[in-house]
Amino acid sequence: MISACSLIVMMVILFLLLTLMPGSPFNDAKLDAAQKAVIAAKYGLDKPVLIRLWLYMKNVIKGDFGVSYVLSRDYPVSELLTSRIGVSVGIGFCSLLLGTVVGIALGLMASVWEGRLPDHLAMGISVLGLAAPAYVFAVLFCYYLGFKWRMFPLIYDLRAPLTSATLPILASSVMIIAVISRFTRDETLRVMQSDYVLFARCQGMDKKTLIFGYVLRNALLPVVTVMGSLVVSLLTGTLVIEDMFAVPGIGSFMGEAILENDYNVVLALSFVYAMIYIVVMLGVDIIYGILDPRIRIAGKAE
Amino acid sequence: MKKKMFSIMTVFALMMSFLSGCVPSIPSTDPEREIDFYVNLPPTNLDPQKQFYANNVRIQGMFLEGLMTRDDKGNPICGIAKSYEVSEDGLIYTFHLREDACWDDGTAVEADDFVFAFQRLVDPENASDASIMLTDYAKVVGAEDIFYDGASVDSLGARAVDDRTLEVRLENPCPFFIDLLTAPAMTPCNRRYYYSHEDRYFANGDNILSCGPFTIDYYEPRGKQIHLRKNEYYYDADKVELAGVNLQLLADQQQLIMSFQKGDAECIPISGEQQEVSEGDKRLNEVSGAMVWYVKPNFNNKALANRNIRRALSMCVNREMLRKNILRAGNSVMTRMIPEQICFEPDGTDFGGETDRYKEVCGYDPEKAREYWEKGLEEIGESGAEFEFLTTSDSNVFMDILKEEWEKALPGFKLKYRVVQPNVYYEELFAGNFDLSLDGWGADYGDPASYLNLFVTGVKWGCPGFSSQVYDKIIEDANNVPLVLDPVKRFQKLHEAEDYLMEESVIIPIYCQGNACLLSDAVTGISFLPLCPEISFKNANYKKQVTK
Repeated sequence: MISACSLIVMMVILFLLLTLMPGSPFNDAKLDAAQKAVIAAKYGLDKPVLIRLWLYMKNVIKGDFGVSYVLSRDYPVSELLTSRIGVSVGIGFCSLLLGTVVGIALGLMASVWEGRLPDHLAMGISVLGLAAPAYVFAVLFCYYLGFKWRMFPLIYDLRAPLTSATLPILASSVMIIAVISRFTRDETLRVMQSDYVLFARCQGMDKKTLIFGYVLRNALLPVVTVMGSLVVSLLTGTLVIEDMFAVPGIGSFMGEAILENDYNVVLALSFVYAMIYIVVMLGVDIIYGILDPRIRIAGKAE
Repeated sequence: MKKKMFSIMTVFALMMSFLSGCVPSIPSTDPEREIDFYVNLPPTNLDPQKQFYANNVRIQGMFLEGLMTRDDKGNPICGIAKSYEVSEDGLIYTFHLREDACWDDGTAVEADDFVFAFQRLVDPENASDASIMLTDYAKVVGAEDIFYDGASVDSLGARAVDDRTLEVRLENPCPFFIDLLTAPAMTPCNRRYYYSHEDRYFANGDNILSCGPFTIDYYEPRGKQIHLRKNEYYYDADKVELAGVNLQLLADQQQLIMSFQKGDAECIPISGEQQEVSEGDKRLNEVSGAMVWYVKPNFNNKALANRNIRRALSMCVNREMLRKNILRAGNSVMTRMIPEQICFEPDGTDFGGETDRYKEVCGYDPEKAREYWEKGLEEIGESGAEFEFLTTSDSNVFMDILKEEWEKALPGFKLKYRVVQPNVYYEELFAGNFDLSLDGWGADYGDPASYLNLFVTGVKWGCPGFSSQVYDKIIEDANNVPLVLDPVKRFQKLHEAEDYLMEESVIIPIYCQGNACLLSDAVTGISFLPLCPEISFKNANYKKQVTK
């Protein structure tokens, strides 16, 4: 309920902000004022802002995001977006998954061998990943994996979506690996200090069962929290990666739409971004419940 | 632990299937006969009768074909038309279509498909800017009344005599009408197909019908990739060797170069700073273009109305140095108005072939320029002149060099930029609110008139304030009976017009914009032309080789 409300509020604010933007979608040098007026009337842009807002919201609830004004005149926005969202979400989701799995593994490795070589190694990777922007890694991967060793295409090719998605996924997962591994290490070390771990060890529980069965579960809670914000930076970060690999996704599309005042596309894309964020937040809450039953039970008791 | 590994594998398998499930993909053709051709120019609309825009025309030219097409030199030859006749007065054209001309769904191309295409072109409801081809360039009977006054499209002077015979009637003889028919806007449009796909016609890869050598099987509006597939029903299909062409429309330059060197791409565009990489590479392919860039003076300015001053401005531009250091590959120096390879005279000579024809008035000679300058200033009774240069950006290396050259060679010369937003640039230009500007014009058809008509009194693309009865008379003669029916004499007249423009230094031509690309040795037979079809894969051949 709260998510739905925040979505609507977001759309209203954005709609009003967009109308304040200078220029109009139709500023072709060849059009005179009369022609512009005819076009504006055709798309209902001559009506007062509030009426336009009302009509737009009504249509959105019905699932109609209007048509594109500039990028592809008269083409329904929803159709323009569906094919692009798939690619972007696919790549984002995969890099999140890859980043989380590798990140947790690295973090665990570092905490188990704390202060020794694996720890330094893992934390070295993490520092590098945080310090350098994704673009740098993209270039590195391109040069070695793509160019030198000829393993993957350098430019996204729809004829081979899987192999060509590999480099973008790798490049955008670096940052996730860096963040997750650091959090996992620190949290695991913190949990390892707690009394119940000491007690379990005194009882003679072997390290493997202890870590995977007891420590990890508690250590992962903060990690999951971080993941929510990671998704956001992943969404905004895709623009660079998508441009570089020519991925036909929504990242670069958003930029084009804003530059050319294609209101409907900007609104629909923001809607999509907000949706993704809300869904991820929901996912985070659910994972909380699984990891720590106390949260679930406490919620019910109220 | 085994179980954990298994679950991780499952997650990855899920991830992969998720990725492949929600991503559109292109069915690949025979990879041995498919090339990867990268053009960094995304089209805005592929419907040929809708929008007249260079990027669109370039892509359309790759797969569509109309009544006429061009040979590898650029001369118009028969395409879908098998032959044609022109009446003695040059007003009635009768085209006989090939019996074996077919759409890519196997149905025959009929004369009515052309009638419908021409009607769409001038239909005010369609509001196509390509309508100018039938209303202005060639005046087809009725076209003007339909487009401007809303007469019925049925009154257009194009008619299907029978399924295979098309008759087009013109109001005035048009010496380049045949050349005009090579344009994508003149390609046929199937009435039945159009009405069953009306609001989706040519909007994406599923709604494209072609009768040219290729058809499109993947295209998304504003996408980054287009896939061409050989049209098996094309009348000359036996000669088309390629099974498909993958067009990449937008990519990072660095990625392009690596892809080319690795062998993923057979052709990549080369521009700007990347040119050093390709310098001296024998795979570098330079293609001359049709877009001439020139400095346009405003004749309402007292100083610029003086011929000597204009000539001085022209003679102190070191065009060769600009080309070599700034413009680089693909672009060529212009010291005249008509570029090479645009138009051939009846005896086969290239109209613009003699590139140094106007050396005397456009050649680089700062000392002579200074003489002209001083003479000109004396004539108008000034000791110096200050000009305002209309531009859309204040940081342009090209312009800075031009400015420096002028200021260095001409004492008392001052230039300041007036920077305006791109969307008001043309308003200002047409209103004449400038002294100097850099303007470009590309021919829409292969005839010198496409350029020379600009400077007739009253044309808004011309120089503000420039009006010459002599020039108007020359052009009027060249565009009307009897000269339009006598090509040899007409070309003489057109040469006369260009002579006048250059002798009077009406404009200051700088360069002709072309294209440069790196083209793999494995591909042969792609034809590159300055006019549409700029790129044709019809006779292309691909020998895939293992790169070392």
